[in-house]
Amino acid sequence: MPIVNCGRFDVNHIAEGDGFPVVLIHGLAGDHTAWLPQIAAFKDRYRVIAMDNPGSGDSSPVDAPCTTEELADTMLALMDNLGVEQAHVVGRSLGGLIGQHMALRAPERIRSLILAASTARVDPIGKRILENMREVLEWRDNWADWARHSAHVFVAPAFYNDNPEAMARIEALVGNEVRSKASYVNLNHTALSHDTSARLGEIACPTLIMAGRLDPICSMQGTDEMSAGIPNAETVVFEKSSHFFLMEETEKAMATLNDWFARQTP
Amino acid sequence: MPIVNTGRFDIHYIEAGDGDPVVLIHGLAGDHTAWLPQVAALKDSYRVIAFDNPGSGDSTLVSEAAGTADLADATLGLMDALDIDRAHIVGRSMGGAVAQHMALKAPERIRSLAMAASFARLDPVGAQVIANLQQLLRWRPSWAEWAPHAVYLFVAPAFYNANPEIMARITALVSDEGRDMTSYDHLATACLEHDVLERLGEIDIPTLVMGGRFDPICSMTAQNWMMDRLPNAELQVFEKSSHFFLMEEAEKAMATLAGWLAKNSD
Repeated sequence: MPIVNCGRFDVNHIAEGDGFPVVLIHGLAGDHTAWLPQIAAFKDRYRVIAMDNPGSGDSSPVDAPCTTEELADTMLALMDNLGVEQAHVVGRSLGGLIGQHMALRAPERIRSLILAASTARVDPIGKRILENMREVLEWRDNWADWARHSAHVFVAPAFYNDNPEAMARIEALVGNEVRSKASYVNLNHTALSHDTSARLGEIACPTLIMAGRLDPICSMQGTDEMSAGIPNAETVVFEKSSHFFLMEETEKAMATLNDWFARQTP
Repeated sequence: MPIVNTGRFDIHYIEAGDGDPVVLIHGLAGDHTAWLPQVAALKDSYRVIAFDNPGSGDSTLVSEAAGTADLADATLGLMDALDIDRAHIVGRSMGGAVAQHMALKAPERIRSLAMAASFARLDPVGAQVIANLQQLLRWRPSWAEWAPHAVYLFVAPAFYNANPEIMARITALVSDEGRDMTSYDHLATACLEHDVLERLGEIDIPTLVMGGRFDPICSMTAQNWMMDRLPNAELQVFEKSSHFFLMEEAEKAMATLAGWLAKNSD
């Protein structure tokens, strides 16, 4: 997989398929493999690009504090490198925070913005959960303990209870000990300091907001703030899901994206 | 406030009012003060008894392993000491687990059984969350450090975000360093080991099962497991709440409980 320099960070990425570009930005605890189902579903009609965020996978570590604005610049630089003038930008969780700044900094580059389990600012319970996660990592210095102490917030209780194999897979993925702890800690602060709540009105592109009713990390309170503040937004709520509705209600999530791309592609 | 011996444990209790007796059993992290709103609301129509569970408040500490059946014996012992032949039993969380053993051991002593955010067997996510909380206290023996890792589970995100003062008060309550960690550890194990699920068919006492839609500790999975097996039960779901719906949806919860007791009294 190619690694290209994007200023402060080198970025590992994959690009598959042809057509209008779709840029997929993962969240705090993932890497580009979080998007494999979406890549498989959309590469027949779109040029689908997924990267390891700085601090994840084979991209540069984040060994000093960094902001969502800087990460937005990194993603725009990646688009430059790939000759992508305009794209649908899909961000989940932290990736959505980054996507908001891309839309604010370079509106002409963003055909449409999709915010999945995201927020304009982390609300009180989301802050507490992110702080708890950081504390567990600092206290234990291993990802296996972190994974066991985090997995229950990612999915709704019913999903957790009904899908032991999927939960074991998630815990193994996020419990992977090669992940950079310093990067996680820096990016955890990055998420906590993000605040575009006063600028939502400037996000002019068509925006799809997707949220899980039971998500405590990016709750419905943050979702409602974005829905009210972004002028050209549609909101789809996943009633049975938490933070991982792209997996928990995968069929509905995939159909929602599919329909959105079809409507928003020139 | 009076203390009576019930065998293995001395129990500190309060009582108020006259009428049919109502015995209130609190959960793992509380004491009798968890019930003060219910005592106030019910004492004009009932003889209301609330007490500190073994391991909590001014009752005997749990210095050696004790199961929910042992706590049921202590509660029946309290009823003996107070000359209460038969009572409505209301248990929240672990208190509901204790009440199930009371109903199995002495059905003639139980007029009705109401369980709030309880379980006959913890479901996978509930067991993981309780194991996490137990583990956190072993790692970091400080209630102040433990509290923020617990309280976000107790309420739904909307309640947490909208009620910073109440959340600060709950956090301060469970941060009280006077609480006995050994007792908590033993009682968390008692919750993890509690399992009367396949015996619920023996409980033909009128039973009220109440669950919070957002509760990850005693999720709707655990509520449905009970409803599938209890022969004489009705279910009330609190759609906006987590584990603390008695507080989160206080009005509805109080009306439900008052209606239940009235319906099951002479």
